[in-house]
Amino acid sequence: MYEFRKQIRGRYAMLIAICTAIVILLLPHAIRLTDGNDGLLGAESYHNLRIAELSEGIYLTAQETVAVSPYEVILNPYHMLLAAAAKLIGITAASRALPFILGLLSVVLFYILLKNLGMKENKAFLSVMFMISSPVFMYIFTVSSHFSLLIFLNLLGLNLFIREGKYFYMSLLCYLVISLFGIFDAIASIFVLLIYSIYYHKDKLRLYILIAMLAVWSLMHNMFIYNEIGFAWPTLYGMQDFVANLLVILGSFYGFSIFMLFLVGAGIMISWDRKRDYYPIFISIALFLSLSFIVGSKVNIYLNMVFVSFAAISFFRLIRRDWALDGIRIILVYIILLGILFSAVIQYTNIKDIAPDNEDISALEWFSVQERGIVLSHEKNSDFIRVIAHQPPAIETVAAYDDYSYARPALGRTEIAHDIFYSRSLPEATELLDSIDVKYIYIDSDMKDGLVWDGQRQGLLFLLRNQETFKRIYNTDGIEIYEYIKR
Amino acid sequence: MGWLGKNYHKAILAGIIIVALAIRLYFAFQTPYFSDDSSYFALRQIEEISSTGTPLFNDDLSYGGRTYMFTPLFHYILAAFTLFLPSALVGKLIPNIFAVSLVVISYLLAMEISKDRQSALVVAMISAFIPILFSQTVNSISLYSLVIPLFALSILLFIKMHKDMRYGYPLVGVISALAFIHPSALLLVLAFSIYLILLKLEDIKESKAEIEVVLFSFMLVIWVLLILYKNSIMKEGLSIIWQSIPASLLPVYFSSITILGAIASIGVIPFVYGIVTIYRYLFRKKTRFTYLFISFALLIGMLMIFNGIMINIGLMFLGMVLTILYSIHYKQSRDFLSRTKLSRLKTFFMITLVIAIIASQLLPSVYLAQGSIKDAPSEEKIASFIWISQNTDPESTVLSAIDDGHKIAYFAQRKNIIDSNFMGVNDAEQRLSDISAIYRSIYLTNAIELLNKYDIRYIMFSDEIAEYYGIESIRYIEDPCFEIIYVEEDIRIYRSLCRFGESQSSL
Repeated sequence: MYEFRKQIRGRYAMLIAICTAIVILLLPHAIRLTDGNDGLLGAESYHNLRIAELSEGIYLTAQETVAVSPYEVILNPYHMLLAAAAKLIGITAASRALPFILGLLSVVLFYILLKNLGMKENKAFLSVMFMISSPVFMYIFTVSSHFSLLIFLNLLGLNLFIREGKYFYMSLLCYLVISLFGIFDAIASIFVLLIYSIYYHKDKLRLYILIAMLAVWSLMHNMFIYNEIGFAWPTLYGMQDFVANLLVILGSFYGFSIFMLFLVGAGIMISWDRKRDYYPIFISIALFLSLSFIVGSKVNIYLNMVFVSFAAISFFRLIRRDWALDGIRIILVYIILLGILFSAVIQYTNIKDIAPDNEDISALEWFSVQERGIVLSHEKNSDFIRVIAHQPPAIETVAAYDDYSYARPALGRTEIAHDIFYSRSLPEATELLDSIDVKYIYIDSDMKDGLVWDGQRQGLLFLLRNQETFKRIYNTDGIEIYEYIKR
Repeated sequence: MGWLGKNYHKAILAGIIIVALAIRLYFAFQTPYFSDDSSYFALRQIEEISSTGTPLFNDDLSYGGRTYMFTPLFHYILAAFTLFLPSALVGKLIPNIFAVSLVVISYLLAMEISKDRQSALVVAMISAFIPILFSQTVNSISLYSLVIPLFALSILLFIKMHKDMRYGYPLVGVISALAFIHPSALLLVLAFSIYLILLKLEDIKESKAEIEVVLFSFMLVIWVLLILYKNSIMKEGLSIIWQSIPASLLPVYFSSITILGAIASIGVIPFVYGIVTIYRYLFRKKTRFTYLFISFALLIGMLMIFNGIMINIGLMFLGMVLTILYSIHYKQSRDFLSRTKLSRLKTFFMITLVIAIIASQLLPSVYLAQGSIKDAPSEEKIASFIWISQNTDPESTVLSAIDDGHKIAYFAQRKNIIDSNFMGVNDAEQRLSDISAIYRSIYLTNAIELLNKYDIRYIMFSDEIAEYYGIESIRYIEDPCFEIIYVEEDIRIYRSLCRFGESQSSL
């Protein structure tokens, strides 16, 4: 352990961290490309790709026309940056390269930030390594996600703010850009700055100026947005969703490892005697966790940086502690590290196998040359149908990666779609199909394997045998596309 | 030393063990078969391990083909005994020996917390006959015959570790073994965690070794469960807590419990006086290790209230904990009596107590055990399964009630439609619904469609199935599409002869 500590000191620490980040961020892309799948990772990537395509200059809104009816989409700085990068290297390459570069830069900025905040080198290094192996980091810097730019800007902004002199104006710029992402992100950034100010008492005037400008700018921006597309109160998440959002093992892409949470819990318990020193952090953790009932798993991208730092501190406390049962100390350390690694492997598996696969892309690309018409499928396929097949999806849902998805006109049709999926009455099904003007029905193997149906002749699958009403126009590799023939 | 000499009390303890084991084996060997269907799942695993060395994870028979997700250490332990005993005898004998080991462990635990041999003997006597535990393990290859004694052993080692830290290592070993036997190991570490919290709240200093063991155990159990059940957790999420039991069966497995029901299952003496002891020590006195038992009782109680644990399993754990807590109450009562004029009647009180234990523990245990034995399948039913194995195609699928699922796989060696092992099965609810539809349907085409869906060739029918589905007979069974091939007492087996043609695709 002593030799290990010696080696990570100094310049090698950053090099090891960057190399590890490169491997972790490139691996899912490399494996997919090796399998012949050149599709992007996940619906979120295609969603952002589409908005970047619609982007013209620095306008904050654009119109989406591949929909049941045209609607306004809200651009954020990530879309603009993606559009700019696309002009140089193409949209698909930009969708892969941009989060990757932002990820590497975030690793460097996080390390520098921790050192500037007074954390010792070995703890800072371990925090960075925990961050790189965290499911949140793996996801947001692999998938083309706007959170990648958000995290980068937060880290850059805070780093610049900590430095004195003209760097203040650069940090102000960062935070003003952050406020363009949405009201929650602006509030979260203000909160982080306030916590910083509690611990470091210098520059309070500049801090208040920054917060005031950020608040005003954010207010103006959001008033403009809500004026364009209206406002909707968020739906509260239940306790079961809260737990599911918190843990990667339960399928959340933004979830944490149980072992990481354990280290955080242990860190809080260890620090509890000095709670007067740590109360702002404790309050921020409690507040963010509470906010997750409103905004969902998005809070995890902020919590992640706090958690990995706490986890590193408590990890060192654990191994340096004077143990009564020394024999189990080493085993415990290995269990924790292996557990964190295990969660990283789970996340890697989730990301690597994320839709769309080769069969999905082939089907959707074939679909893109067909006559345009509204397509009924499961809501998870909406962005693929729009972006790859260039067909308007019949139903849409609130997406965790799009704060303004409540403005999509096809929202709220999920119940109609489910009634159609489970109907065994042809007149009832056709009436419902006519009500939402469906021309095509897209069925993939996930839908047949439990996502919608788990029997061969369940619901709509039974009715699709009626060849006078439903003409199968595509049937390859488990994907079927039917054309609905209206009477 | 009191009126019990050191060797005399050992003799009494041995006597309790022998009597308990004798009564158990008497009931167990009243029938050659096991009372619950899942014993036959365990038996298949034991026989598979003894013949191939590895458990049967990929089973072609259950649900027509599926992968099991379970921890196999219990089955390995039983399989080790098949080196010198037949598997059916191992299934009858060894779980009962495991269950009786609770008597010794309870005695040692009661000695630790009450420091009184007489109290410990009384607790040993009660623990030998906790009605719910007795009936659930007397004629079943039940994991809980080993899990509950190991729980008690863990508590004992935890308490001993406080005086001698070296007990921490065997404690960690026992907890590790529990993690590989059953996921309820998580209950143990949760209870230990609650214990540490209670100590903190009561300003009692926890020892370093306690914290370290709890920390380590928590991590180890979580790690083992994540590795073993990762796929189930990712597929089924939090419903894995309820073992993926279909919603329509949840009320059966997680039925609510009444106070009278709890008393009857645990026994009035441990229930009432165990609860009194909890109340006394939670709100008034502060004794370190009593909090350990209180933590268990609180955890199990909360889980039972919020349907986080099956009622009968919760009652088994609760019974064990309350029984040991009774030792404190017994010692205090006896000490109080010895200071009064009633001390002359102590022999009378002792005899009265023994009679009360016999009436409230032994007799209900025997009664419930008799009920459990009656649940064992009849000779005729087993004969029908064996007939199927000898007279039907090995690839065929047999329809029967859910409680026959594992028996079909074990005796008939044929595929079943459903059994009680729901974990990892996507369509259990649909299957339950379809089986009900097959038995209750009045339409031949509807029934044949469902029979074809699962490729069912043979349908079993009996008075038991008729009662379960509320029918007198299968309405369409006289149709030429069905041929009766076996009749014995009330058991009938029909062969399904008809199949629908497959529809042509449009492309």
